[in-house]
Amino acid sequence: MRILRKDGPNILVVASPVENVRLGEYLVVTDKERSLVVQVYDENYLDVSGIEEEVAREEVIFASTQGVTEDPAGVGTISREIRDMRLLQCKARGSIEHGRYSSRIDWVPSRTSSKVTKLAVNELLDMVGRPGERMIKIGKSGKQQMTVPAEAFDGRVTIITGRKESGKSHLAKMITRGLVQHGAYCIVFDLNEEYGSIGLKADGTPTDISRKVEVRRPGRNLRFSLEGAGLRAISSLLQHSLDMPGTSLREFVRIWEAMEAKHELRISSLGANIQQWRCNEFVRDALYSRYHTLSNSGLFAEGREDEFDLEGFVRSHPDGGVLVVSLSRTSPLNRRMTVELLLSKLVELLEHRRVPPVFLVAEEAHLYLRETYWEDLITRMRHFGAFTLFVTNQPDAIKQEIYRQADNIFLHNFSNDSDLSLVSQASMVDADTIRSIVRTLPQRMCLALGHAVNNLPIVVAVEAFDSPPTGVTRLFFQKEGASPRLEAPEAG
Amino acid sequence: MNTQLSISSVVNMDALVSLAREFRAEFEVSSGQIHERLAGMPFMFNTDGKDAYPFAGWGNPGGHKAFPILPQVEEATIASTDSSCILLGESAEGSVYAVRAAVCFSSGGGVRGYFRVGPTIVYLTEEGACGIPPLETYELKFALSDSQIAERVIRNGLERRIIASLMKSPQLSIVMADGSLKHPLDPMPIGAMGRDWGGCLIGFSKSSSLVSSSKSTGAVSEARGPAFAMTQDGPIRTLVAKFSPDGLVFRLDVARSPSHLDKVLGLLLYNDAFYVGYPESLRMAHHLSVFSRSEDTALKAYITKRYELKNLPSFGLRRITLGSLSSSG
Repeated sequence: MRILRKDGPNILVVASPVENVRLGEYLVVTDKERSLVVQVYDENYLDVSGIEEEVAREEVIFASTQGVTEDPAGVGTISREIRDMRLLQCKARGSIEHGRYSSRIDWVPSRTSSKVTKLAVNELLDMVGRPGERMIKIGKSGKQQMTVPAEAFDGRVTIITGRKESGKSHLAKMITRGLVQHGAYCIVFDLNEEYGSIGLKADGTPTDISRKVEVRRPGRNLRFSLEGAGLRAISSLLQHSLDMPGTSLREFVRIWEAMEAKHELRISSLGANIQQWRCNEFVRDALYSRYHTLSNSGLFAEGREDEFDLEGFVRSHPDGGVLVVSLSRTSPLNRRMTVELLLSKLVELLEHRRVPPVFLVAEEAHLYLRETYWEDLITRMRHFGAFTLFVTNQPDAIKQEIYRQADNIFLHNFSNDSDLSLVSQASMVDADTIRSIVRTLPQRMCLALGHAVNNLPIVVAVEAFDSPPTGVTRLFFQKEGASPRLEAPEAG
Repeated sequence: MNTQLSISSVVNMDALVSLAREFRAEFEVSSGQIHERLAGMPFMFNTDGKDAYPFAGWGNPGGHKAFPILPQVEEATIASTDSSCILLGESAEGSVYAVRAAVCFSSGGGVRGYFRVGPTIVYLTEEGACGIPPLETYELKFALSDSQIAERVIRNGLERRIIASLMKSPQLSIVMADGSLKHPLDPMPIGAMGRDWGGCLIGFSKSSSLVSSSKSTGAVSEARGPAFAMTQDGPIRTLVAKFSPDGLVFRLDVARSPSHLDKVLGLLLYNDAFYVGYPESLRMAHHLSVFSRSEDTALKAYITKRYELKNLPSFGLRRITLGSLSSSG
C-alpha cells in the first residue's frame, strides 16, 4: 500500500488486490519516527485510463470465442492486478509519536518512503488508553475481541440506532448484561418482551446475573400508590399524560392536600373527594374523568403494601440488578403513565441520594416518553444519576439536540438516504465516514462512535446475544405443518 | 552602448534574399501546375494524421468497372493475423519494446477460435535485436533511427514468422494479414515462404491513401453489393474490394492465388463475417493484439523487476522544446 494523495484529512491510499482491507479498518502510515493513523471509509477501483474499453473488449472477445494465449512473461497476471488495484479513501484520525497517540494530523508523511500497514483496533485502543477497566464484551473488530469499558456509559447518553433487524437489541442487551455484571442498576423499558430472559443463556441455563433480573408488568406486579408516588409525580402525570388544564390541576392539589391531612391518600378515596369538593362543575367533571382513567388503568394499588418499591428493589439487589418493565401488552396511555410515574419516582430517589445512579434502557422511547422528558433525561436527570441508552430504528424520532449531546452512538445499517443524512449531521465524526461505512454494514455490525471507543470510529461485529430467543415476531407462515396458535385471552 | 546584434554584420543576407526570390518564383510556377491538376477535385482533409473515409463514398466511377463478389459456398478455414508493438522505454544503449500477435480462425461465416502469443520483450541496440530473429543491417539502421519504424520492423518480423507457420497447415485456405504486402519498407518475401502450401495470402489494407489512389475505388464504392476491381497484376495482385452492400472499400494484395480471384474472394465472403466490409477475424486479431493501458503499466512493472531497472525521471521533450503554443506537427 502507498499514499497517493492528501487533501486535508482525506488521504488516498493505493492498495493491491491482495491487501485484504475492509471499510472501517485502520492503517498506520509510518514515516521515520512518526506515524499517521488513518481509517478507511470507502474504496474504489483505481482509475486506469481506458479501462472501460479494455473491459468491454475482453468481455466481448472472450465471451464469444475460445482460444489459446501464450504469455511467456506472465504480464496478463500483472495487468489483471493493475485493473483490480483499489483506491482506499481514508480519513486521518491522529498520529503516533514515540509510541504515544495524539489527535494531531497537521503533517504529511512521505509519499515515497512511508510504509502503510494495517493497525489492529485493540493495538490502537491500547495506545490511546482505555477510559475504564470494567470491560464489556460486545463482539469482534476484525478477528480480535472487541470490548468497551462500562465506565464509558457512566454519566453518559448513549444511542443505538439502525434499521429494523440490524442487531440493535442484541447490542443493547449485551451492554445491559455487562453493566449488571459489573454491579450496575438498570431499568429497561421493554416494548417487545425481549429483556426478560437477559439472565439466561441460549440453552436456558442461568447466567451470573439471573438472580439480578426482575420483570415487572404494569397493572399486574408493577403498581403504584398515591401516597408512594407523591403529589409531584401524580400532578406531572395528570398534566403531561392526561392533559389536565392548569385550573383543574390547582383544584386537584387542594383536594390532594385535604386527603393528605385526613390520611386518606388512596385511589378509592380520590373519587369520593372529587365528588364532594366544592368547585366549578366543569372543573369537577375534568377531575372526575381523569380519576376514572387512573382508577381503570389498574396501575394504582390501594395502599403502599401493594405498590412497587423501587428503593426496595435496589436494597434487595446489593450487587446490582436489572428491572425489566414489560410494556408489550400495555395500552399506549398506560405505557406513558407507567414511565412517567417510574421516572418521577426515580428522580425523587436520586435527588435524595436514596438509590445509586441508574442506567435507563429505553427502546423506541418515542412511543412512551413525552417530548419534554427527552431533554430532561439528557440534562437534568443525567446530573442526578440517570444515564440513558436510547434504542431506536427511527433515527428521526430522536431530536438533533439529543444526537449532539450523545456521548456514545452505535450506528447499525441504514440504507435510506434521509436517515443517513440525519445521523451523519448529528454524530461526532465526519459525514463521509458515516455515509460510506453505515450504508455498507451488514446485519449485526455497527459503527461505534464516541467515548466508548475513545472517539475513534470502530466497526464492530456484534456477537449474537447468548439468551433464549425472545421478542420474535409472530408469523402466519411459520414452519411447514405448524399453524398459528391461538391463545386464550388474558383475564383482566 | 548599443548591445543589439546586427545580423547583416555576421550573415551574408544577399544570399538569403536571393534564395527567397527563388522560392517565390518556384511557387508562382508550381502554384499554376498544382491548380491544373487539383482544381475542383473532391478533397478529404486530414485530421491528426489518421486514416479517414469520405462519408459519401469515393465518388465518380469514371468509366471503371467493378465485378461482383459472389459467395463461394464451401467450408474453408481462414486465418487472420495482426500484431502490436509498443515502446516501453530507452536506455543509454538502446530501446525496449513489447510485441504481441494474434491469429483468429474463421470458418462458415464466423470466428471459431484464436491463438495469441506474447507479449514478448525486444531490446534493440546497435549490436542487434534481442527477442526477435536477427534483423537485416538496413532494418536495424532504420529501427534505431525512429521508434515508429522500429515498431513496424518488429511487428513485421513476428507476423512473417506467424504467417510462415500458418503456411505449414494444408487445411488453411486463406491467410490474411493486416496491411499491404507491397510496402516498400517491409515487402513480404512471398517467394521464400511456404512453397508447398496450396492456399493464398491476402494483405488487407485500411490505409486511405492506398485506397483513394486506385482509380477503380469509385466504381467499387458505387456497386450495390460486394464487389471488386483489379488495379494491378503481377506475382502479388492488387485490387480494391468491398464485402458488404453498405461496406467500405479496402485495398487487397493477393499473393499465391491458385485459382480465379473471384473464387478466392467468394470463399472469403462465405467463410468470414464482415462488419462494414471489414473481416471479423482481422478485427478480432487486432483487438487481441493491441496493448491496453494496464498492460503497458504491467509490462513496465515486469521489466523493472526482471531487469532490475532504475527509473530515470523524465519529461516530454517536444513540449519543453517547442512550448505549449503548438498543437500539431
